[in-house]
Amino acid sequence: MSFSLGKPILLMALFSVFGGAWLSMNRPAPGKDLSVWVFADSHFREYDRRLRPIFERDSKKTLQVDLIPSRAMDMRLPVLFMAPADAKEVPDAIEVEIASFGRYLRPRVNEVGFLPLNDYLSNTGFREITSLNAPGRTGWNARLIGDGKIYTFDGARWRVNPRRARPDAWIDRILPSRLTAGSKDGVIFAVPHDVHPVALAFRDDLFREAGVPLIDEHDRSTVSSWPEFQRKALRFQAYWREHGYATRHAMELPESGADVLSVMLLQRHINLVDADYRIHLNDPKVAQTLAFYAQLVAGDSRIGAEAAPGTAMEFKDLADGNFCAMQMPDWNVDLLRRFVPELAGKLRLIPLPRFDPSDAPTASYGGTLIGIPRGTRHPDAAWNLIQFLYFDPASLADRKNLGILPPLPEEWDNAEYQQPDPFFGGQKTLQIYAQLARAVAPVYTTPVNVMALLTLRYAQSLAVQYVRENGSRGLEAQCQLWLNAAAVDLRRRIDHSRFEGPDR
Amino acid sequence: MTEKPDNVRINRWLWAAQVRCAPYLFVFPFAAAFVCFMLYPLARSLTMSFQRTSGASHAYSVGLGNYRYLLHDRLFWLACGNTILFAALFLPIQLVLSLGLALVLNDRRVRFRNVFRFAFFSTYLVGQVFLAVLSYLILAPRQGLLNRFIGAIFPWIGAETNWRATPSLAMPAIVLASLWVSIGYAMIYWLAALQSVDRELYEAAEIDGAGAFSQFRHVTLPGIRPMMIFLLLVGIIASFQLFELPYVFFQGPGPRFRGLTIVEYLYEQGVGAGDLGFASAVGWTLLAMILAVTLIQIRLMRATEK
Repeated sequence: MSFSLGKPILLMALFSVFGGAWLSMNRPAPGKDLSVWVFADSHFREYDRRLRPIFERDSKKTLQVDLIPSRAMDMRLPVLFMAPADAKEVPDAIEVEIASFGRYLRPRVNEVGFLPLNDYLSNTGFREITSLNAPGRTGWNARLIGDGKIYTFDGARWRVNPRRARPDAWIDRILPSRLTAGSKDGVIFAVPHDVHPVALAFRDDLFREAGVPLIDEHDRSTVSSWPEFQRKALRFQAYWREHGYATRHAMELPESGADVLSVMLLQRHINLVDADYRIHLNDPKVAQTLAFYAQLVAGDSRIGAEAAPGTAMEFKDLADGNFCAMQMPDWNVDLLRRFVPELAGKLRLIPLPRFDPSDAPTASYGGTLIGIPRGTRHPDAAWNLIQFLYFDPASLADRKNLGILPPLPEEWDNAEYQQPDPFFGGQKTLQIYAQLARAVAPVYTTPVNVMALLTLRYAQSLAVQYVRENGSRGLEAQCQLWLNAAAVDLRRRIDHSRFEGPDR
Repeated sequence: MTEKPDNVRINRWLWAAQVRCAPYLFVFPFAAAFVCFMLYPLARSLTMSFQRTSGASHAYSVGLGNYRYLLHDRLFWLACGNTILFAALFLPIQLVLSLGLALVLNDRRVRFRNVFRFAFFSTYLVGQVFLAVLSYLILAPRQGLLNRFIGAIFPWIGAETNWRATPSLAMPAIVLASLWVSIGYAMIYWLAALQSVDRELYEAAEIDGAGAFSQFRHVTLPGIRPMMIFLLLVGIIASFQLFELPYVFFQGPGPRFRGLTIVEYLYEQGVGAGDLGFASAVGWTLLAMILAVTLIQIRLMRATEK
């Protein structure tokens, strides 16, 4: 028998037929019992190298940790949520960057790709005490291991509370302002990994040399408001200009992004869009803050400059003294230590200045949430994994070593969080962040958050140009006009983008 | 030994069956992949463009609502304007500079021509994302190479020019980066075209007393005209698909959306906001625009040829 197209083609055809058959009959190696997707390199290292062996030993389950960069996650997660319910490759837990989480809350509550976690949060993580001498905070409810009764701490001591059926669970123990980011209509879809409060880090050596110290001899901040900080910063810059430093700016203030401005707005308890899709972009406080920010980055009262892009160049700018203060979330402190060790002892931390006394001395910047995709075949085991990764003592110790606060306020009272930090001249950095963390305002995530932030960025750019061309006279009124127009535009986008089926 | 008549018949039948079926069998893998990964997604995206969606699994019909919204969206037109501005700035400069380079490197008097050709072409080998990262390092305030250079030569400008935050500098920055990467690429095409021009035409022109400029105008340009059309077409299509470079360079749509391109607008709607239906509508509109521009261009080229 001969083959019309020749033997090579016949061989190739046979090879592909047999190869295909072999591939389809050979199943891949059995997967691990549980899998988790993470987007941050540091989380991957922590989970895969340190926590995985402990989890596998204690739970007798194998764990696969996959690192999927944020941008890839943005593509893969929507695809994952489209997969049929019995799909095999669904991970059991997924970490998502907080700014990206809103896009997954677009469907109706019962169609969101993550599992609701309210029941798990309410029925696990019960607070327990071993004796009535255990430390507590007012309002805490705990079960005494000895007698099984529920006790409530009244500020001085634990008292038995017969009206309460059960002690505090995770839902009571996690910082409430951090649970809002992963929620929609009261349903919690993700648990926070951190708080990420922001402080103001500054070059104490250079500010002191300029005769403008920002802290007193007790390490207390001498700056209470942003306008006061601006006045001191102008004096600081004037000193260094006289000494020939033309590009020495007081603070890192980006012009291409609105991140610093957003933190200032969160200090004022303003989310541009809240959980109910109400727009606060044109709130008078936003116009006021925007106008103030614009004259921080442009015009005669300018005190800031944009850092070079990328962490390494940003910190080099700080080390070179091109700018001498910056908003510093807790996750940045460890990076700072590693990138610019030469700054050891030269930096200090203070709470962020405020605009009004009612503002918070901080806000959160960035963060990680973890959720369980609906398609997982092991929801209970996935929940146990989340509890281990986020709240186990080994995991909490890792975070503490990186200078990151867990979202459990009770942890912050521990002695390990009160240690002096030589890098910041002996300041107790974790304690400073812990004090700030209690004042962090809630952050809401919706699918339109990204658009709202871009709109703010647009208004910021207009305001900066206005200051360059006209000074700051009439700026706030002009900002209000821009923001009103932007809010109308944003409303139109929300109405178009918001997903509600015909049965709404 | 001769084969039995039955065997001969079977062999003939098998042979005929192979001849009939073989082409289909060989086309089948491609056709299956094409239907699964091209045709079906295209058809699906066309239907989704008439729906409001949440992911791909939850959708309801909105008729022409997505297209209507798109045509009234200021940001979409801004993205179109940015994309057209990019093409208008980038293409003429790219074509002229690359042609000049090709003319120089086509001259036999130039030594190490192949080294130079490779050197100029090599920039094309870096990806768009890498190019974007490289660009923002070069253009970084104070520490970027270009800003340091500007600061040293023009002290009154200083080294703090913020290319990523200044609206008027956004597009020039992208055009500069694109030129750096693509001039060598176009040069290779021009070189191929220049080498295909009949040498006898130059000799005849020289005998007729034509100078270098006349030779270029009357011999070279007509000879490389098809390549010019090709490069223009490819350049326009590539310009309409511009995405990675501005997206990574600005980490978003740029100052006052001056770096927002049509594809980035599509990406933000589809991936950023999770509205695949609307993003599909943007995609089909982009296809229609590219088709229209290409057809107009081909018509114009034919008209000028006549």
